[in-house]
Amino acid sequence: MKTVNRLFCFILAVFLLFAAVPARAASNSDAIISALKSGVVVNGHVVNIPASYINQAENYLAAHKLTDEQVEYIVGQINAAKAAIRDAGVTDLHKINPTTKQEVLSAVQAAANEANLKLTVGSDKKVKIADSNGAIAFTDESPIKTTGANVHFALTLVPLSLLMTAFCLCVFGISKYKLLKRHD
Amino acid sequence: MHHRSHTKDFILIPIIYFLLGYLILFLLIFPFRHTISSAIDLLFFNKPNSTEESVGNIFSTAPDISSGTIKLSSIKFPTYGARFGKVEISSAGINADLYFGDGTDQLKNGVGVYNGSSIPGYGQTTLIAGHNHTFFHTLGKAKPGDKIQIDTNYGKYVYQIKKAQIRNASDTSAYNLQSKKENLILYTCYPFNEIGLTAQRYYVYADMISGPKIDKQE
Repeated sequence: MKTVNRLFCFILAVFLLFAAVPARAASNSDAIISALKSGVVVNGHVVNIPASYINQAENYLAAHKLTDEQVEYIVGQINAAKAAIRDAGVTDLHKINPTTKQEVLSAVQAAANEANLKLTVGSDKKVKIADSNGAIAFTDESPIKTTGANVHFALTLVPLSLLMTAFCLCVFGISKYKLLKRHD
Repeated sequence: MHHRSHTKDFILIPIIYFLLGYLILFLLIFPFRHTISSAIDLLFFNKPNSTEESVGNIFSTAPDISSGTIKLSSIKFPTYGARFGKVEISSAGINADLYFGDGTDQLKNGVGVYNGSSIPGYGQTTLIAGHNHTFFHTLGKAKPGDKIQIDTNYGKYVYQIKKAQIRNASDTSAYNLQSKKENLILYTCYPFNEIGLTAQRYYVYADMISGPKIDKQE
């Protein structure tokens, strides 16, 4: 499932960059969304892209405009990614081979660069596409977030307190040792 | 010999006890680690960020538009991280800033629209997250029939609560991001008083009563 999601992300990223292309006409945007919604046709089998990915592309396109040149380049990369998948005959994305995956990834990265976006894969294997300011254009995180307290800062206290305690104990032990040595 | 004994008694043994002590403590606390760390975080670190320094702000007051159709090209569409409105549920005492995006920064400052859903007026699903220990702590008080008001930088929306449900966080049937009907889903971690990582979410589902529709073709 993760592999499938990852691949969808790559494809989406290409589409997204492509989407960023519609510099002026609303019809360009529509064409991008239509392309996303039509998915990838492999041997007559349509591989659909998740609605959350399409919505992200739609939202990004509603807020950003790209030049015709950027659009053209990105479309080229999208087509390249699509062709790679089609040539590999991948109808089950769980079984995509590493070579095809790399081809798709390269196309997506090239398209992202053209749109001044950067694609990163985090240590948690999550794919993120963001601009130079860190504003997210796309992420494959779950739609449902952790809405309890944020634990990141709190967790840093644990190793710090351990180190502090260890330090205090050592100081205490050494001072005691010196004291006893003096009595001896 | 005597020197060696002191080294053992006052340096090695304390260190061994220290390590053993923390090991036992760790094993005892491990099941409750998230709750404890969340509590510490809540008490000492969870201060809101400055909206202006962390994200954009495109909302001051909502224009008096609560019906009809507005052109997509005529509105300032929020980018990820932007504060673009506010959510009010008077029956539950909720009044929170509304952000586009539901990352850590946005949820510290208010509640956030998932960027894989849609903004109000788009004719689709709007999925909004909020923390259970801050802005959505009283979400459970919102009952079917109650009104939810969302003011945005492009119009005013009113929704009516249809139902509330508790579902597992991993249950993807709890929301439909493909819906072609304007609808609103609010959620937070459940139980409300548990501030760690919970396996359940409390969902509130609502339908739009009034508000301008966004014409995407314009």
